[in-house]
Amino acid sequence: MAATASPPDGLTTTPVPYAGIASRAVALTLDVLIAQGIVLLGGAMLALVASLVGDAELDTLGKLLAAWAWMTVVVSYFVVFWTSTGQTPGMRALGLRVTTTDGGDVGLGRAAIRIVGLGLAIVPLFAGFLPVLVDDRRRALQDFMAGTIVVYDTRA
Amino acid sequence: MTDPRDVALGLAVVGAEVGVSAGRAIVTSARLAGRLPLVGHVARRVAGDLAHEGSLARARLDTRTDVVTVQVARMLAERHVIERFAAEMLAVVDVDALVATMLEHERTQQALERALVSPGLERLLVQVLESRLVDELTERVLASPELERVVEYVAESPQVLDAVTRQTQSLATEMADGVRARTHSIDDVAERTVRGWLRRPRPQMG
Repeated sequence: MAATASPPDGLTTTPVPYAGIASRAVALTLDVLIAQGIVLLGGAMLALVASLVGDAELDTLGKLLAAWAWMTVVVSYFVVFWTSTGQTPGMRALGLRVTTTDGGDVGLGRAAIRIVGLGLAIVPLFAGFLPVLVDDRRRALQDFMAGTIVVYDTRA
Repeated sequence: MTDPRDVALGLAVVGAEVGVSAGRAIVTSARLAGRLPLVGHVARRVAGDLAHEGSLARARLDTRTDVVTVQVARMLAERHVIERFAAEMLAVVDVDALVATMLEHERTQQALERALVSPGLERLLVQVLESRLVDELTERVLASPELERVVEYVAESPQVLDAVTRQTQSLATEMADGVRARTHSIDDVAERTVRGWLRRPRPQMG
């Protein structure tokens, strides 16, 4: 679905197929919530098993393993959905799809680069998303890095 | 040709008329005798005795009538006379047509309309609704296992589950569509605003 904007200063008069910052922000929020829910559910199950077995206290190694597990789950969540269907559940809810700049499917390499770019875009208080507001194809930092674009999914 | 039954009936009528005339003559003479001195006292006493005998006879007759009535009612019940009569009536009369005719009759409609607009019916309904009976009835219905079975049946009904599922999906779809429309609109507004600040208009899409 392409958004139709009524231009105040003759800035634009045609529908834009690229997803804007609000849609992407809401989709990302939904995805983070879902990913965190998966992590929490898995962590709760592991904690339950650990409490049944014995001491459930985490030492430094345990904390590192937990952090690694959290990162694995979150990265896998995004990479698997980007490469398999081109959209995460949050993007599907908002009617968005990620493709290569020529409209192709996102491969594993691009997805890996994109997840790194996503982290880099988030770290400086989401400043990596600001280019979406001024770029002609509404690309964020991770899109520049991976050569991808996010479009409104007309099939949604 | 003369019918013997008419003759007998005529004789009975004439005899009755003669009896009535004789009775009137006797009553008149008795009244006159009752007003005479000496004889009147005796006549009143005789009349009183006769009245007493008459009242006793009437009481006995009433008792006998009650007994006969009870026996007749018992006989009717034992032989199912009323049931047979009702069955024969139902067999003869088209009850559905009769009920339909009564319901569609103009006077029935008028009576129904009058009853519906009458304040008396309204008061009656209000009294019924406010009565303790309704509360008790409601409590009984809610506590009854039959209601529980009905609720279970409805809850497990495939049709109901299907309808709820479809309704939920429809609601979720509507919500998602609404959120999409709003966020897409905000996308454009945000971009226009920032591009307006930077005086960098979006190029026309080919």
